[in-house]
Amino acid sequence: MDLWFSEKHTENVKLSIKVDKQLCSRRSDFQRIDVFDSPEFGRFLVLDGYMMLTEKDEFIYHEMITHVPMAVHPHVRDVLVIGGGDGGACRELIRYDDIERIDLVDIDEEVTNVCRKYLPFTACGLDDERVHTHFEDGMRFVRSKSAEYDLIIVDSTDPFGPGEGLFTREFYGNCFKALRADGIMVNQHESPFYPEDALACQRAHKRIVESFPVSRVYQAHIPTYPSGHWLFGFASKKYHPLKDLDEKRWNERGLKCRYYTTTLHKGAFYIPAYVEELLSNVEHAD
Amino acid sequence: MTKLAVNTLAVGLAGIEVYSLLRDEYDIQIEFGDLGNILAYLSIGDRVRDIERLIGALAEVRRRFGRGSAAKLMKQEYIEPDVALSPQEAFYAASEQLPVKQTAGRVCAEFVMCYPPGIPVLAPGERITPRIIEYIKYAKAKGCQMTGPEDPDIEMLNVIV
Repeated sequence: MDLWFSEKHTENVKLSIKVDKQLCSRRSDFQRIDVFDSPEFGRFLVLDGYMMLTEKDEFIYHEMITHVPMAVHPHVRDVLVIGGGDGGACRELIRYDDIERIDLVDIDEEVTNVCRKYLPFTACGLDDERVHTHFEDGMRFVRSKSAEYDLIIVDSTDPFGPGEGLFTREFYGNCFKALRADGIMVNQHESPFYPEDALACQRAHKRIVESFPVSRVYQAHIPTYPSGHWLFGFASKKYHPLKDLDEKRWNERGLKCRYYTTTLHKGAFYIPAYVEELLSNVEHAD
Repeated sequence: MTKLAVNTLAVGLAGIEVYSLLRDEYDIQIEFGDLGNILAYLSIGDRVRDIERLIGALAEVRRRFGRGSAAKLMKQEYIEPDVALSPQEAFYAASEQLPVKQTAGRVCAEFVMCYPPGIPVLAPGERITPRIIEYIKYAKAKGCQMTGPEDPDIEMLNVIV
């Protein structure tokens, strides 16, 4: 039997993964949710036909979206995760004993239900008693918050479909308001490589630059995402991602990671020339 | 279809200012803003998440641009007209052009409209009062679109001799 999952990365490029079997296919109020088993990437989650995470490479994304801000901010107590209903970001966050509260806000409860059943390797992050799940629109949730969080992680899908509001200027502004005076916001920032993704990346960057005094971008290599080269945004009211990195403090925590190290942290902010250029083009626009 | 009207005075902004901020800063085009309100047109083409964007953007407008009080804003939008002549009489009467600020007490020979709301501030035959002159100045300063008079910049007005 020859069964393949394919995702178009552009009109002319697609990534195909050989599938062993399909475990689940559901339609929620917001999107179609599929789970497959594959020989190469293990179990993987697909929303509306787009690969969200695979068992083999999700550690890269989840480590990078959490440990980078955690190694910079000296005292994170309250965290808001927007999106991330799979639990992966929470799984990394609950490794920090000094975090007191994690609010997870995902619009689609069905994703979490599916993950709890089929993706225990990420959903395990949701069982900690510090994690409070809220199934509602993240835009709406964050709007009413003011100076409540030290860290906001925007673990969104793409800038179209249910997650599109999480790429707007009003959303980033609402996040700014929801953060304390030294808060950090980290977001999934799309890929700079294919032109359409690059445009989304530029748009998000422009809006974040307009909303936060410190706004930098860092990168990771994620094999199953379009082009494999993925960006994250680091936006902050006070801390600089490199000057305020405290390697000693983070390493003394003794957290063992498979991708993140404090050395890689520094390297991740050194981005390719073409990416620097496409970002600086929007930093100084208008 | 729903028309959502929001009074903006409590945040210290004229409706027309909120209208422009929504368009320029948040890529949201609403139907219009007048001196004290905005009007958003919600239709079958809007999804719940679009409404969430509008509300999120309004919260941001308040946070970033709000002046906290309506103290410096004009609240009155309707000024009871003082009709001195019928429109027909005024239309055919001899007139002269004067700078707006010198027209108090004179009878207007032309229309002055402010869009929004698009209701004439002055019609031919109506007496010009200091309050009306103040209103015209204010609406222009807030960015309302003014039409009607011969002088497109509304610096001059035709009044009955």
